[in-house]
Amino acid sequence: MRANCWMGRTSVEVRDVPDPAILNDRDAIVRITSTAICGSDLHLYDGFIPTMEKGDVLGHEFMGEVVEVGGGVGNLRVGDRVVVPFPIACGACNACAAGYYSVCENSNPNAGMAEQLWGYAGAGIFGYSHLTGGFAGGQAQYARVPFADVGPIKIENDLPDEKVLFLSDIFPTGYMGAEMADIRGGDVVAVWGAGPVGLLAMASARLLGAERVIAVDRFDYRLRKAAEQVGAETIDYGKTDVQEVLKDLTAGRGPDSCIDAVGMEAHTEVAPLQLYDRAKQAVRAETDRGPALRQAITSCRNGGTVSVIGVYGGLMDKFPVGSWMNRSITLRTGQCHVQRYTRPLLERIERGEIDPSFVISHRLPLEEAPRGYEIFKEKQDECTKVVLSA
Amino acid sequence: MECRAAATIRRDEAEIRSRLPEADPPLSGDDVVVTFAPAPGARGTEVRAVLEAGSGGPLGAVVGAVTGTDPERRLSDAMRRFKQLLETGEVVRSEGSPEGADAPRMRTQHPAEPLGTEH
Repeated sequence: MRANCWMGRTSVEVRDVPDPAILNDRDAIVRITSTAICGSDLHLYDGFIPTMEKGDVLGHEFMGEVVEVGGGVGNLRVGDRVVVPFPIACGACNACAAGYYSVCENSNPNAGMAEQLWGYAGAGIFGYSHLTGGFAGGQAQYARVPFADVGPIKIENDLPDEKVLFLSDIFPTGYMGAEMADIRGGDVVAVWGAGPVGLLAMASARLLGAERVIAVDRFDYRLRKAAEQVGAETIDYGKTDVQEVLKDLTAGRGPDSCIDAVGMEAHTEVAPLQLYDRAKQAVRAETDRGPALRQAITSCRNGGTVSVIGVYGGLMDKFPVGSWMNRSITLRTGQCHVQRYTRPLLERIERGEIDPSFVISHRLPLEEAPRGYEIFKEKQDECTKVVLSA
Repeated sequence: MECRAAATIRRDEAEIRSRLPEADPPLSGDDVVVTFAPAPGARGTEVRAVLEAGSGGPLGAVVGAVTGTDPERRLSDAMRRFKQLLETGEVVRSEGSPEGADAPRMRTQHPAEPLGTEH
């Protein structure tokens, strides 16, 4: 089959690789119809996530048709149309039983590796380094899906792929970001990053009752999308002092909740700070650049909540611990527990409350994945989200 | 030397005890002592294994045979695979780690692409 493979820093290639086969009874094989490039794939592309191997099949946002099931998968049949959550979860351990699917205790065969970096390991993730299990990803014609009786959600309506594809990751991730932000009626929610996850966090904040949503980014076309699609007020951090503007917009209070939808490759216009983080990252003295998270914390109102859905990998410097502690800020985070959200969010899509496909800017064939990565990374051609058809 | 590994397994003690020989390598035999305690909050059973590395018995032999690996990691791999087997019914395999949790394999991963005919 054809698959998009990681070949080294800023290099991906669509190559011929073997077709996947069932390895365990609870596996299924899915023929992929649609798959997407995630902002977090760019962290792999840019070489910021350790433990990648040349030839790794990328991709963790995919859907398609079941073509083979193992003997232990009772709920799926050949021909079923499914969306596959990015975290692999067994459904049987204490973490899964409590709904914490993205920290499944069983699905990462390389947990020992992750424990050395993080203390304890998270779940296995499709196409996302060997630290998260070394699973082949879904930017391919076919994928093997472990624990297929737990993760995939059957799509039994005739909605097009692009309306349901993002149940695999970015819609639940954005929604969980808004849910963790503990939004109450009348709240003002600021979101750092108007990329696909940030836009869906903004839309989710609206669904959960936020009165005002404020988008922080520096790309005009993304801020425009936030304003047009979500009714967000916008702040261009390249042109203004974000904290001052937020103070002004909230008459001195600060936003009730702040969502970091940026993560480890954050950027700041404050040159010495940007240089500081870049230099430390370059010599591996810091793995994660922190301006978005730092600013989300220091901008949040006293007693407010900061919710982190941008991806971080290791260590960050200059964490504003004093601002966090002295002002009673609640800090919440996590890789999305997608399996918790697929059913209720599919129902919201079916009821017409939201159509997550508004984030899509580019539709390309799988063969053009390398171009997709490049335009997404460089933000060319007003790129917000690339969907690949396999 | 003494090695230790522990896991909380969402099963009752009697079942875990009866299935110890299914562990690979088995968590039974003269060289390994396994103890049990109920996990608080109805979370199953706390299982602890202590191994005299280098001594006789199947696990000790495997540990002794593998040079350059940390016997404690080997024991913890065995415990991890055993927990997976009891809780999920299978040893979890990825394209990078087709044998399942395995310390030496973690050092030299198969690329995360389908395994093809080699498996």
